[in-house]
Amino acid sequence: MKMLVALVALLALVGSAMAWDLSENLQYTLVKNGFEQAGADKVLPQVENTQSGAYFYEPDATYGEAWGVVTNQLGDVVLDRNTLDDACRNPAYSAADNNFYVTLTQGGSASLSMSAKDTITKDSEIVGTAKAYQNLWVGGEFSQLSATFTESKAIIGFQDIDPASYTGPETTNHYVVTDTKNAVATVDGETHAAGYFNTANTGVQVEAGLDQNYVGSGWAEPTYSGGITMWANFAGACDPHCANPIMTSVTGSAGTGLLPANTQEFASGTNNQPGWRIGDTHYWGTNLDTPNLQNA
Amino acid sequence: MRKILIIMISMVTLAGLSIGATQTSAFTNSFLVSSFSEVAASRTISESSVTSPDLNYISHGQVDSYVIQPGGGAATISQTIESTAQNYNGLGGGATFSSKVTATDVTNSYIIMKGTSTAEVCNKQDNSKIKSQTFGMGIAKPGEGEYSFEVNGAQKTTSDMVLALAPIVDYTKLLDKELIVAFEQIPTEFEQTPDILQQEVNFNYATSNNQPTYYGYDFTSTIAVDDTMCSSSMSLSHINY
Repeated sequence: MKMLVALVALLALVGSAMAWDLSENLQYTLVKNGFEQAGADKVLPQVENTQSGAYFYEPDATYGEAWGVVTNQLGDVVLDRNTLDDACRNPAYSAADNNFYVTLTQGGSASLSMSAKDTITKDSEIVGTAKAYQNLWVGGEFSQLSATFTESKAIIGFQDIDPASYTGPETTNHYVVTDTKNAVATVDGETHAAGYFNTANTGVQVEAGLDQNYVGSGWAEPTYSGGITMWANFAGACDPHCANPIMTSVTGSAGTGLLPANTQEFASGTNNQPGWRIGDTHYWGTNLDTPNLQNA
Repeated sequence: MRKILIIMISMVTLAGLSIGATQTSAFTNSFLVSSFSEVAASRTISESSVTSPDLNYISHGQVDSYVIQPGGGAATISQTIESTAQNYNGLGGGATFSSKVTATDVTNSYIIMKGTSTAEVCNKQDNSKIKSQTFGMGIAKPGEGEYSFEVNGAQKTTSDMVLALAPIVDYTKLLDKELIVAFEQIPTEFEQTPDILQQEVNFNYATSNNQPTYYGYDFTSTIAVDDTMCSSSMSLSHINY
């Protein structure tokens, strides 16, 4: 008789687990390519102040209403194609003789998987990650580039969590957010008349993570993670001043934490993107009017 | 006790075995090419129905796409609707909607996709035959310029159910499902008319074992203006395990 009860219980458990497990996966990219023939100087406005992002919202997630948000914005870009530096030294290149290229890539991903409470396996019941990134590549001869990445933000988590599903300090909202503001990447061969660049690659990436396991008869302490990565690379010629230094720098800071405060609601609190609605999924991008999407 | 256990295990095993299954698939494609038109619009409709001793299935899908080209431009619109259903280990199936647009001199574009599927796992009315019907239609509004338009489609239904005048299986409880899905792109307006617009949307969903298991879409777009080209993409998937 015990075996029969165990068999029925096992079947019920399998059925229950299948009904609870779900995952959300979101990805987006925006790539903008600009080209100008030699002598022109209209490339940077084509990519400056570009912003894009995407989010998902699942109202019927296992432990609450699930959100994943990734956004990016590029601000000002300063590129010096002057043939004379401040000391009137003359690097051996000419903007008038070289075509110029620029590629801005903005993108992100967010995933959140939820499974039924299970003390049999060590796998976490809630695993979420979000990543936002942007990269600016320029090609053509130039002596200095400075890019300001106005914002990159990654958010993953829940709101309106069922109080019955957790213990401990009460909170109905549970997001991990990593946000960076005005991160600057610079490559500079002009200040010390070190030469010129053919290409430069600069960018920033932020990440946020959430991991929580159900052990014994309750939830383990959640694990939050986050970070920022920046880069500024170049390739070029040192003619005619190979002994002089080339300077590269990246400056930026990011914070990872829980947002918003417990009493705030996500949809009306931290975002200001127009057109957001409860229960849908959006993609947005500016400049050239890339379209918005929604699933109704 | 031992007999009860054996009977229980036998029942579980029996439930996992198929006593016959019916599966069906249908698709409708349309392709519009227009030139020097101020508007290019296409609607593709696909309907499919199957009646067999173990499955009643009806699906309806529609894809609309349009672009407005006030100064006259060229456009191609390719649309596809595919739907599948089967009664094997429970109701399952899905649908895919696709729209691919390439156009010049566009100021507005719009895509909408709708689908409805209804299925039940047995046919009380007639167990002596399998009947399948399909309907595909394309509607084009190519404007004043020259154009070409084509529509094609197909349906295939297979079943290994034994046909009989009497019910083979006496289902005491009918299992039926209705699923409605829709995808709508917010209409896009361009402040600066792009030289070329290319965009593609694929929207699909799947069901298995009587439950929705998946929905998602992917979107790609390329817009070219002068010496600037902007490409964007997005994908979303929702999976129930």
